[in-house]
Amino acid sequence: MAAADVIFLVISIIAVGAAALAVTRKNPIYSALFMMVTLLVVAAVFQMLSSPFLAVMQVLLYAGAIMVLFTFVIMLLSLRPEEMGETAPLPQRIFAAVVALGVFALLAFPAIEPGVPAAAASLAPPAAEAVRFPPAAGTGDGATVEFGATAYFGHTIFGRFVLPFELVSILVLAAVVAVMVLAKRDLSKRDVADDGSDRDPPPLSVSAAHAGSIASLATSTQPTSHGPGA
Amino acid sequence: MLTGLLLAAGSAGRGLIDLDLTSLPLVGEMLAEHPTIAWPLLMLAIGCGVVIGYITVFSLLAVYAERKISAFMQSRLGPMEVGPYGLLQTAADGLKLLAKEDIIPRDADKLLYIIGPIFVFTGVWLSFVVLPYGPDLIVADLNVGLLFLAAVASIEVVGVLMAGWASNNKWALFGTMRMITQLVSYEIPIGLSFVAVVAISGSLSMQEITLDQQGWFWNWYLFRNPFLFVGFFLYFIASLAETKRAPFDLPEAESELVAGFHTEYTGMRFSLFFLAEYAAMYVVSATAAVLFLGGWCTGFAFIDSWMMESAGFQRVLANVVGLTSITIKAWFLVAVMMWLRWTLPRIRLDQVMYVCLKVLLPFSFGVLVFSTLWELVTDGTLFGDWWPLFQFLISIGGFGLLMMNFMAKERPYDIEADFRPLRHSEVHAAPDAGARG
Repeated sequence: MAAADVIFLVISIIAVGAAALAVTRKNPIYSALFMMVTLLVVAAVFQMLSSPFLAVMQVLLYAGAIMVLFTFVIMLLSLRPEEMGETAPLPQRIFAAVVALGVFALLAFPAIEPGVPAAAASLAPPAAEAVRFPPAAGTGDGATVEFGATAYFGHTIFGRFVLPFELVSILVLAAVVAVMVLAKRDLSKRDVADDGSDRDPPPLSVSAAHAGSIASLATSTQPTSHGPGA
Repeated sequence: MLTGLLLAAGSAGRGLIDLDLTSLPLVGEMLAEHPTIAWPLLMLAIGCGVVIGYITVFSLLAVYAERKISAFMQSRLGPMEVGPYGLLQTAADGLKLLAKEDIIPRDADKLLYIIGPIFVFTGVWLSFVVLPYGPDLIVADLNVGLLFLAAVASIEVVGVLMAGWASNNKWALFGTMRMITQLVSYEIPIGLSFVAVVAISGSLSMQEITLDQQGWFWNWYLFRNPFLFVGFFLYFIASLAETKRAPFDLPEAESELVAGFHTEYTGMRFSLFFLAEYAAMYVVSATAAVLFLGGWCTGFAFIDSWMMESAGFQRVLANVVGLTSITIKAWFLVAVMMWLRWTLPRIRLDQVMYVCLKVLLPFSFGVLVFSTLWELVTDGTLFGDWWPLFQFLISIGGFGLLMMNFMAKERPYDIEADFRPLRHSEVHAAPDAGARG
């Protein structure tokens, strides 16, 4: 067994194990953290597939930004202990299991079925290593770009797949607008509040108490002769 | 400088290592059988050891410097008792921290409480892997180096989340919330500054970005065009917030939050946070040095060309020169950070968010767009070989004009406007009130 196989075996065991733990943990914080482990390990898989850019992006966006947001929200929900053990009703769990297995089967199918990888390969760009791109900044005239490198990635996304890429951008933009509309709870009431009239305090939560601490901070940060503390 | 020599011996004197290690029974066989895997692993192991030593020594010196600088600014002497001029004070403090009782609160989430500081330290420590110190002094010259820096910074965020939440303490949770809000927001202007530089260098590799700035100091990206000149200051301000230094030290504002997310930590676990904080200062400063101040290049064309062409013992010497160069630049920026900490009062949380989202963000976008346009229009060779010098003069001159304009319009400081208490409606609209989920 080559060294790469050993590394891949270790990585896969960690990834699958962490994924299983993420599903079975009762405490959502642990689920989120195990999911983060899975995502980090998938970054290692990308690295092994000689795609360092994807690997780093996986860490930066999924493990970094998205999972931090997940964990942040879960922590602020501050679930009571009795809510943590709550499980979904049986029919729902069976349905979820069937859907999960179905997705798994769809993804596993190409790996098992001998004809499919060949068909998928025909969709791939011809002989990726030899593809010559128009000159990028700093690479001189028509440099050959290595597969998986950042430049290759950029040329692929903004060349061959530019239309799907832009469509995804529009989708994300729509999601951002939707979130803004949903999060801004009462548009009409807000306008009244903006002209200085005081409103009822927001329902007490961690962040409301926190906002209160800003108000007290405002009075406590008066500049004094001895400057900021040690 | 001692660590510098260690680094030089560690990675530049590769021939030396070759002789010693291949004669060892087990390691030698490994190296002979799997040279493609064993060599990088070995270099990584040496690099890790050297980096840990470097972080420790740097932190000891930086804490001493911080105390002496604060003392100087407040007309005090600072530490004077332990060792000559108090030089051993921080070493004594380190020993004290090691010997302190390690307390885990009863209601804390033990697992997360324990691995939180490890995550924070690892995140910062990994950043050192891609920082170049000389022509050969880099643990791993990844072709996605700059992105790697941004990515490992997010591991630190995860560690803070774990530590703050697991402590089961309201001050820790408040500190964590502020820290996450601040870190996640300030990553955007930092990322945009990175992109502005990468758009010019055409590479994400830290070593290639450095090499692109060789020659006289007007080749540095700081003077590359007037917009990047501004970009440097934007990056520096954002990096202050990223390392939670004053005036952005809200996450551990001791006058209101005890100590922020590490309120419950003692002993060695606390010192991991402490080391990570000072190491992060070095990382952002060294990154600023690489991106804008030429990295290990000296700024003198004849020295830089000698560094690249030298071989043998001269090569080792060149690496030492490079290391000295980047260390001086990084230490200078660290000193500025300390200077700012003891000069400026802490700002309010809504002001922190205001600075990020309404000042730094639009300006960073402007820097990205206009500096790229400038490059496209001038193509780097508008007046032949002397164009970089012209750009240098334009940058300096433009900044001078801007400052003069700013000075001329200076109004008397309106303390009421900046420090009046917030009205209730404003508190509700404060940015972090949106974090209600």
